[in-house]
Amino acid sequence: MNPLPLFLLTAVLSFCSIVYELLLAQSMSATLGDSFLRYNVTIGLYLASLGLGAMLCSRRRKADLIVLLADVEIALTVLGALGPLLILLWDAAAFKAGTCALLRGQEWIRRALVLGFDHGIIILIGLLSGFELPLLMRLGKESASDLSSEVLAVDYFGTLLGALAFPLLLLPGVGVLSAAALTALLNALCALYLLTFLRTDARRLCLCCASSALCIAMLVCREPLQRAALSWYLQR
Amino acid sequence: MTPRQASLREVLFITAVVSFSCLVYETAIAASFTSLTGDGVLWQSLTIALYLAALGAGTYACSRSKTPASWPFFFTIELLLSFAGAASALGILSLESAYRFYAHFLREPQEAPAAAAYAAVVLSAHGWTLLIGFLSGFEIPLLLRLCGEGDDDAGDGLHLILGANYMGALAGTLAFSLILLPCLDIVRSSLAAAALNLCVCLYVFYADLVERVRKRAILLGLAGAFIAALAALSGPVQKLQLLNFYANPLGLTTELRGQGLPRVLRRLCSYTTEVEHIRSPRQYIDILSGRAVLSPFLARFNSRFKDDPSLPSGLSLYLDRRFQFHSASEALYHEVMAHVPIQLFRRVPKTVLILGGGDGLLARELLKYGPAVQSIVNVEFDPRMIELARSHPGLRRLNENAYDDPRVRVVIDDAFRFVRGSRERFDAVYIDLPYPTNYDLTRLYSVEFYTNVSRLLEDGGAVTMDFPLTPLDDKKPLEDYRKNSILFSTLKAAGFQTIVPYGTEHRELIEWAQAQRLGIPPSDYDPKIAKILRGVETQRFLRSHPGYRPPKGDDFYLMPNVEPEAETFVSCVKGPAAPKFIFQDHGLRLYRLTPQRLFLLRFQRFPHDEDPGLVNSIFRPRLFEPEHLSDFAYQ
Repeated sequence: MNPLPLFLLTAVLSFCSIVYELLLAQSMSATLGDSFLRYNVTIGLYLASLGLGAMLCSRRRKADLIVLLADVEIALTVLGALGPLLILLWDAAAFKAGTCALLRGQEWIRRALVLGFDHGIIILIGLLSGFELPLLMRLGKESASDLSSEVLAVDYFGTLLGALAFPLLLLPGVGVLSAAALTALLNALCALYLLTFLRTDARRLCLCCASSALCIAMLVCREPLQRAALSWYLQR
Repeated sequence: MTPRQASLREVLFITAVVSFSCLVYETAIAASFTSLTGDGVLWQSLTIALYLAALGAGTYACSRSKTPASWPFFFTIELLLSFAGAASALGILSLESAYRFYAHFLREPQEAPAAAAYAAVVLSAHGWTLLIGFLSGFEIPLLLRLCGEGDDDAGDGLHLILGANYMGALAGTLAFSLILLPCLDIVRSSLAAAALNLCVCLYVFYADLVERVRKRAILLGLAGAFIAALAALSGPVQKLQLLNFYANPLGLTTELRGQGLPRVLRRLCSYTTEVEHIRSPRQYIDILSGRAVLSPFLARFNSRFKDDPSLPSGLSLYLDRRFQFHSASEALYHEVMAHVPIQLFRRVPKTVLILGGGDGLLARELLKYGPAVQSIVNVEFDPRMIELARSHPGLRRLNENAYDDPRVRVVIDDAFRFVRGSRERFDAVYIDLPYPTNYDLTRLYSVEFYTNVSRLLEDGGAVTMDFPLTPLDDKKPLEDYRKNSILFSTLKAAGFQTIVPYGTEHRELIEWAQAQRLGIPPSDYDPKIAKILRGVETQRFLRSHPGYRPPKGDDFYLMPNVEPEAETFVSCVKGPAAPKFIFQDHGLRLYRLTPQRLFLLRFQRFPHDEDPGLVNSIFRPRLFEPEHLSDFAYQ
């Protein structure tokens, strides 16, 4: 693989991963409060699941690197785009369940449901993101000159960009739902690149197009989507 | 004795411990910045980003470095880290404090407070983040290579080390936010992590992974002494930093400016006026009390009448270092907030909900209606604040023991959660919460929050909140009115039909009147005050208005002002209502609110355009920080 696309891919993917995690932390702070704790726990869980993902990835030595990477990207696109929305809506759903007669007074069940779900999404996105770096480094190793340490450096750079763009541009500029969709669209474009230029796989390409369509739809219909989500959230 | 190879188990253990302490450093640094700036999301993201970038740079430098991986090299890195980590949080806080010290005592008073310089100082403190990240970057590659040396099954070991690293990191973030920060403070947490790092060095030394030479023993001793010294000093140093922070309201700035460093330091060290610094799990509560404690404005004139026995003793409350009230001017705020909606909508509420306001001052005002008010529910999220309002003699005197009244019921809960879950109904809701300066607070100004508040209101009931609106002023750019529009659009989206914004006179103007009574010559007036005095133009307009009665005696400073610092409030009614500016005497003992002032409120003009696209929601959070809060000099 050529160095330039490889570096670009690495930067974009690490950018997306950190933005997803920060978006999830923000959604959790919005529903549960106490943002300092939420952000810290999210960062800790993200790092841990990133490591776990890298370990799981190293088990799959025989797999086709590019196809595996494309699969991971498609899954991340869908999860990343919907993650914050799911956290906000799940919180509302758990609240509604808590008001029904069966669960009334059982505050802890509701909390456990919400916390379990939210942290589950954080871990899932972390695990999938953990697959990326080892795959990219192996791609770097396969190239003409060994680029694996450069890939690592670019990965950190992408993370830096993401963590700067999130509080300065994305959150104040477009809000939680559109930021998730925008970031996921970047991810989908990476998958699209992998599947058109490096491998041709019609079935995966269809999935990839469908996931990009989801992101575009979320961006185009952001106002109605937000209204619908709000009314679902406030419904009792 | 010759050094030996480490077993896999030892390496794993060391990995977990070092990554634990590195993440504690990182979170402690983020917490220091958050405590200085108040914006958690920005500084937390920035810290993690810079830390990871420096970590990457360290890893890269390690892979390029000529020094072969060895335990002595690792020992050196760990030793450096324990020095750097121990000094990190205290160093950041001290750097900020040093700049503040310079601004308070050494700089010429005419110079404008430089927000840009302050931001640069705070940002430069991120040197610590980069240093610690860079050093930490060496750890894992070194450990990976050191592990590969001894064992035959190196491949599995590598994964285990990475796993231990990530688990240590997870444990570090969890331990910091759940255990260390609540039990110790930020500085002591980073010291604890440094001590852990030093323990790793000790282990490496005594388990014969490095040669036991005298030089290393001395370095270990030095590091231990450094950490112990910082632990012993952290209390006094933080106390000094606190005094330095409150130098303006304590009147120290005017007293000591330009007197030379040694004298200022000596005076600060001998300072005895009460600054009660209370660390609750939720926030820092600072109560300044004593005769010399002044509101920010009077602080400038402190040197002139510090020994004047006629000066009343003051009490100020600061939460997370943000000004809440001063005893001399709080009546203006609380009387206007509590009684004006009752006057405008001519309805004394039977049941009241107060969100926030754990000082009990708003409850004091509402209890004045006697048996007409049957119950007050006060929702406050910091139990320590309520305890203080019940037990602190100064606060008790101010709130007239409001919390001893059987009609007041305290609920300790997050306001957002309370309004969402409650099934009670109220005739009036008062919202006295901090301004939406960060993403934690902005959810308390969201359409979700207001919709639930509206659900709790009886028909015709009013909700009143304190919010710094931007009044009409030709010189202001349209952008400044955006925060009005955000609030009004959000309230409309939550279903409120009648929205009445109103404001008080300038708080500083009242203090200016006090200064006049104390005989401070006009030449000493702040240029800001001079600008307000030009509001006399507005008075001329008022005089020509039929029905206006000129103020008498003590009221000479009375005027509707168009300054952003005026206290402003918003009252909304569920359902249609027409506010009437007729003063009704309920027989209450009021100090600030008079028929004239109620009449004058209608001259306040707060422009706003409703825009459904500007609604503040948890799905689309917006910060709308009032600009004067960022004024460095007034903190």
